[in-house]
Amino acid sequence: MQADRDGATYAALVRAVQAGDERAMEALLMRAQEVAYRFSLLVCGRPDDADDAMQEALLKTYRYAARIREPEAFRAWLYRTVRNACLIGRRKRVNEPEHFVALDDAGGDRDGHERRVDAIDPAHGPEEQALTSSLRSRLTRSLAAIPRPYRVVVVLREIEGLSTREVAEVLGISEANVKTRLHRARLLLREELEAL
Amino acid sequence: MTRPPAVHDHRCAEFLQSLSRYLDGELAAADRRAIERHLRECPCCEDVLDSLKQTVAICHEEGRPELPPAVRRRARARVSALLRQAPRQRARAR
Repeated sequence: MQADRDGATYAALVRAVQAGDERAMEALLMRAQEVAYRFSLLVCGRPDDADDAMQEALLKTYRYAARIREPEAFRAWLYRTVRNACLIGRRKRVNEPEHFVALDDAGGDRDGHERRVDAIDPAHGPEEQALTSSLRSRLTRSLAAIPRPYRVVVVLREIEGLSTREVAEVLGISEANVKTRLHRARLLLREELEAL
Repeated sequence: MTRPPAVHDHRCAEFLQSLSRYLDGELAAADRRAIERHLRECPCCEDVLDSLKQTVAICHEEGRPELPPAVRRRARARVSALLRQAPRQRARAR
């Protein structure tokens, strides 16, 4: 399963960082920022905050990766860090955003340039790309429509590929609670996807 | 996805609670067989299971696109800047 491969990759990168491999550090820092970007958009729905969350993930990963005693625990630590960074950003404001921005639409720079800049994948024709983009947009809007406690579980488990145990660690809840929330989240997401 | 008809059997509610665990392969063999027997007899629950599978598949396939190029460039620039600065800071600290 993808989740297992990803978990093993993080642990391997952390071990390489601890052995002094600078390329591994670069790869880990990029992954940390990718996680922060997706989490900001999919869970918090704040593309404007993504840069802050990415910066936080970058610096904390840089400081922590060389020191962590259990490399297998790194991934849960990273998601906990990113979640906390997003929550801090959220506390500065009162409300959730009215509209979530689709992942494809959030690539603009601070001046508003370069929106919708995903590169064309030569392996897919325009029709297939349009279908994919539309499905992705439906997924983003459906996620935004379900309550945050369910949204965060389905993002961590189904999209980010964390194990049930890792999700429990990130959220500070029991594994049984993760499973209950995940089932409810899947049902809610299914309803939203059907409604769009 | 098509919405299945409303739950029509008291057993359906019970089985629906276990569908995610069935999907994730977490049920004991006896419980799994009981669900599979029920699914063969109940198109309603079978439809729910199919739509849950589709929902999970959409998350797996569509949830993790690459970073948009502009975001990736900023991310790479931050990494380069940090790794350039870090040795100088360590040297000053000595």
